Amino acid sequence: MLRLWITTFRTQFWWGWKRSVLSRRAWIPLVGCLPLWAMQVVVLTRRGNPHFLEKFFLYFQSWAYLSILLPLVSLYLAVSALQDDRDGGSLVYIVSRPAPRPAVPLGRAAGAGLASLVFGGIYLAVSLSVFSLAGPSLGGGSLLPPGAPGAFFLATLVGGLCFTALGTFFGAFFKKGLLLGMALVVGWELAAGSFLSQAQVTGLRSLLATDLSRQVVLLSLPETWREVVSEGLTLPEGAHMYGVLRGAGEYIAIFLLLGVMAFCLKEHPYRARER
Amino acid sequence: MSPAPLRFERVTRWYGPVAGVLEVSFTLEPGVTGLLGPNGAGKSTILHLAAGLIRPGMGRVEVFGRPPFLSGSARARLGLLPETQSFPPGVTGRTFLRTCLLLSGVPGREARRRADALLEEVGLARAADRKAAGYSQGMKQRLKLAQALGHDPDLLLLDEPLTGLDPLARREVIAKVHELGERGKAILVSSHVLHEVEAMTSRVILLNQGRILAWGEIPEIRALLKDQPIRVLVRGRDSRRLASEMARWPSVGGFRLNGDSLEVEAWDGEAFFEALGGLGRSDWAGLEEVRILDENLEALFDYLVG
Repeated sequence: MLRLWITTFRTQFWWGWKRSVLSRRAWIPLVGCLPLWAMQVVVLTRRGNPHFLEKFFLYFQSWAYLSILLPLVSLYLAVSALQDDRDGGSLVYIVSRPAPRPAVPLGRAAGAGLASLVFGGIYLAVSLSVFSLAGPSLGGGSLLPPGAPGAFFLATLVGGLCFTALGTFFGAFFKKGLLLGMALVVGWELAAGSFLSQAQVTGLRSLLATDLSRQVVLLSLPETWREVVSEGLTLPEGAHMYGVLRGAGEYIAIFLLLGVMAFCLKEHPYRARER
Repeated sequence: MSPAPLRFERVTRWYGPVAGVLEVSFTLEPGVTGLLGPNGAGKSTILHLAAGLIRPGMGRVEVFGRPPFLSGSARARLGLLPETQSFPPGVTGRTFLRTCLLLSGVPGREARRRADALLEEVGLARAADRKAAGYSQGMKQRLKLAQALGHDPDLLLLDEPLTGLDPLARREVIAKVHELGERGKAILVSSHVLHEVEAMTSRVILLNQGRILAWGEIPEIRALLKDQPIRVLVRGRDSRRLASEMARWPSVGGFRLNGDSLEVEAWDGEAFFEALGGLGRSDWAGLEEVRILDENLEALFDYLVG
């Protein structure tokens, strides 16, 4: 049984990964990166103040990337990893077999999650490179806040996995999983994360992945920057990395568990065409 | 006593206000059984319930004593040839088949070897490294058959297995089904094409509007339809004289002269054939052919479904 579990997870992981990276679907996240890169280049070429640009980098990546692009890309890849086969009717070949059903959404989520981390990594690598190169040309040092690369890569890991778990749940549970997931990202994650104060948000930590990933950034930056950015990103009392990561772990666990349960208990959509 | 390969016990399945199947009960034994019905009768619903893709609303479905929806060990003993023509996108025939074998618990190297052998057996060796989604309908059907048989299941559920196949391939599949039935596998073949099923088996389950109308061997079912006279073709030396002789038999309900043969409707089959046997011994009758015309699926369907 364990061997079959491992085999199922492994085959589904590779299918989830290949589907996300090697199919036409892979172009959508890359295309999504283009406007953000373009905006950064425009700002860099027009506003030469290094102090402003440092702040811009932090705010821009926290909002445009962590709160919009990364959640939507991760959600899209995770939902599509399950829904294509399900809607196409080819999932029947898997679910009619003894392969343990929980391993299917988990394997697909892992493959899609890895793909979203790769896309996030590509986006950040380009953004960071552009800002790093722009600094010397403006006559100053690096425009990147100290510790920013590590902070944003860690935030990508946290946010990417959280939204992959969310996408797995939506993909397994709902027919229009992608639309509903996007509505949740825009309507709850972005809105609540923007308008609720950090003090209130602390209590809802397990329900707001965008806030968790922004807090990862905040807590990863050196002490000096916390004071600089505290006007916009206030640090909740008692916030610490352990709490944030635990909140992320809870978020991932809840949605993966719901997604696995939905997949196992719901009937498979290759429904009888005849009645 | 070992449990039956497939058992349905008062199974009902609703799709909203419409009953997919209603109070369906049957037990499938080893050998080939046809599942017949017009479109919308509930054939695919029965196969999906048996394969563990959907659950019954009421009643029980068991595969070797276990519910297939929940039990992986039940699903390990069944092979499904689904009606879908769709395959996972971007996957070659070889990869697809190998993955299906792996997901059925066949170890890695053995899966590879078996996949290659199966592809050869179904005539897809040359196309094995092409994307399965791009195969012709006949090739897809053969790939589906390979994945259904690959792990040597004890129960086979075949949904329209001959769709898209050329006549030669059909004969090969029918021969394969016979061979598997003789080896003791339990096979349930669903089709709405009567002559296809008749070519594979004489044991059928007849469905209409979600209910079982009849199940068993075709002659047994026919014998139970006492409200329908048996239609028999009789050809002899002198059809007119045969007709006038038979007109006096109480078992004969009516007849029609058709060239040199006589189509007789007999209410009491036993009495009719006994009397016909007596007639056959006479010199003048010269009986050349006696054939029951409605001991076939089409006739059964006409009588039962209307």
